Amino acid sequence: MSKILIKFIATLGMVLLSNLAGAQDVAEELYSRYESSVYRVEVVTPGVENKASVGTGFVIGRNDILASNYHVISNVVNEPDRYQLEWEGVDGRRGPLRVLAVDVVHDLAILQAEEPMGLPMQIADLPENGVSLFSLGHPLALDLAIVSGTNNGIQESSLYEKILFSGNINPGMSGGPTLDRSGQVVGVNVATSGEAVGYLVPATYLAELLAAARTTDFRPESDLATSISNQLSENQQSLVDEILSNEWRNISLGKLSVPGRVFDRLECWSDNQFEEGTNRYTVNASVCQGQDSIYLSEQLRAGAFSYEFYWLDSEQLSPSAFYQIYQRSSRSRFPSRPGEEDVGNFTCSTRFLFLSGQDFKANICARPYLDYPDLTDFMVLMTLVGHDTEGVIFTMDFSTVSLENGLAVLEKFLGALEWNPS
Amino acid sequence: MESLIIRVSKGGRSQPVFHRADKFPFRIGRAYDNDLIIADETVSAHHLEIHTNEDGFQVKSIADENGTWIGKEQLDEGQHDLHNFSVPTTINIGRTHLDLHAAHSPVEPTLIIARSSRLSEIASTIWLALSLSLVYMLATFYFSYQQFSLNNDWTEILVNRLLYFAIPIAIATVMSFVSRVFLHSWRYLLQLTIASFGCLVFILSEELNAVISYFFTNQAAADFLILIFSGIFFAWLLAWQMRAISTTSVKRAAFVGIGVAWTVLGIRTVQDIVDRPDFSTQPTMHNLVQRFDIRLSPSEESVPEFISDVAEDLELGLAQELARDRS
Repeated sequence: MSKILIKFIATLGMVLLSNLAGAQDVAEELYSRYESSVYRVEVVTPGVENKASVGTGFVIGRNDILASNYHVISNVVNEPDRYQLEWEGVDGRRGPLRVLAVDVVHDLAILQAEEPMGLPMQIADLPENGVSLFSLGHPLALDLAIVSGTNNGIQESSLYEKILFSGNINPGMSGGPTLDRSGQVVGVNVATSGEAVGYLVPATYLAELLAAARTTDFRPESDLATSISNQLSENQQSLVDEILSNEWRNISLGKLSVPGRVFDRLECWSDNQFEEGTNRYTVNASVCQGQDSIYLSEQLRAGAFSYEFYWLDSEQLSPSAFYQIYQRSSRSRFPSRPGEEDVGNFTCSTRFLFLSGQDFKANICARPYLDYPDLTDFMVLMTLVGHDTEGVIFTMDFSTVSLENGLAVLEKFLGALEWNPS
Repeated sequence: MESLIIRVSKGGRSQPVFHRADKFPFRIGRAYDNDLIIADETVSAHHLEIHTNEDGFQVKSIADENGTWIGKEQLDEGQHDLHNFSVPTTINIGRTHLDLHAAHSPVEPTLIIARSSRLSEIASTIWLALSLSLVYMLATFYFSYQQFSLNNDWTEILVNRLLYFAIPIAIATVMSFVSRVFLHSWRYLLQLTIASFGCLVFILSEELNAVISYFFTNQAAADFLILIFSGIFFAWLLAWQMRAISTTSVKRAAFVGIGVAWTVLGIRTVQDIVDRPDFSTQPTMHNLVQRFDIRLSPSEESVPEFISDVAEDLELGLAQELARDRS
């Protein structure tokens, strides 16, 4: 029995080794083939030595067109007077770049150089899960590196489609291509979270962006700000359409029946804490959160969505003590920290609402985006009132959504909420 | 000839001295052979003389230094001329003022000593002072108990809040000393009543704030009500406290009370308005909730009506924010 096992392990090891050797051969071949098609993309301030940000770009579609991430070049889009964009090859040559078009939702940008940059890469569909992929880029702004890893398919629980790649993507590799064995681009490096957990933008979005640019013969988009504004508007509209068209299923939480996961791409969990002894109250929480948001600038994130139901009850606390805890328990926060130049102040509407036989106190707040006047950051805080030692807090945070859409989602939430003491 | 009354005063608040002149010429100066000796180093040894004849009074400056003024007019130096004047008038020599009156001129009506008010009489009784401070302590304990009840037993609260319990006693003690200085009387019970009452209203007003801001779903309305309330209350409390430590008239005490209280509240209100724009933080969500539902009528709105009301509020607010940015 043990002999068979050893034999099996040996065979398995050999297969793995040969696979690894194969992967190494492919990596070697891909590296030498595309060494001169992958560039460092740098955001520089004229007259200043230090770079504002560094990423990777690669030749795609035509020999003077580079693709990269929007977040690599966002400074140039947001403050064109202050920053300039440059490429640097592995041989040390440098040259200027300009932004042709961007897709902020999928974090993509296409850039144009003034001279031929090398062999354009081709775009291919995503292969099956488990297939080896090879990611190129300048990790931590060092020399060009190739990283092998495996494809794990489109992440189901991300709001904005991403491929999960088991390979070490590092900062600086952002905007670099991820290739299949045949050397075709299947994704663009975009983010990492920890050891060997990398995220790629599916190359199909890059193909769409390129196709659109090709129709104007790669003329730079005249008004990037309007284009970004439109992309954000369309994105929130499709997100809200999806949320509203979905069939919601309720879960029970304390004496309420509340919506569970309202659409598939949210991550939800529930949390039960029975605080005995010292705290003498019980918490039941149901939290749903979009796992990602859209990068707009260093301090600005768009398109985040989360909501939370937080049920508290107590058999031991006096009502006054309970309410002291209750009114301190709201925990809503936005991922983005915009400045005065980005947004206006929050404006709030505070009202009481009689719902399913119960009184709720509702705070609904919104603040406008100065650059995108149709979009707002939308926040809801609702608390059940009128019960001695039980209550529920409902919070919903939706960033860069139109007011009507924010209210439409809220209306559906209110319609679904039910008082349901068992 | 009629005699002349001279009221001698120096700058500041020193008590004036009255002197009767009925022998003329009447000489005033610093030297000991004068009819009126002035203890003021800026006055000459022999400074001036007052004469009289059938027309009335005359003054003659015999000063070598610092001159003599009658009314606002300076007597020529060195000429030693007689100068007619009529009473009442003011003569200034050095830093000393002389008010001259005819002996028959009437005096101000007698000021009737104000009896302490009925309120202060009641406030000075021992049972009121003690019971008010006891009520304050109980209220403090009650509100503390709510905050501490999770982890602590009542002895711990007592120890933790010892300083809070002692606040009225400390204030009353300090104010008693002030009262002792100004009125030569301690009036400790009155001070204790005022201090306990003030502290009690202060902690109750925090509770009131919570109730009001729950009831008024508009924070601005709640803030305004609290402002009016505290403006009136603290002005009154300050005026009362002032009356308790001095002989100030009601009118002046009220004036000072209103002046101080409303200035402080005004500054705080302006501060709030200036501080308000803060873009990186959460909105000030109105998350105060109360156990007792004290609204006059429960809301009967349906969800769509509610949503459209909220939309109306927010559209207005958003438009204002955008307009503010454009300006």
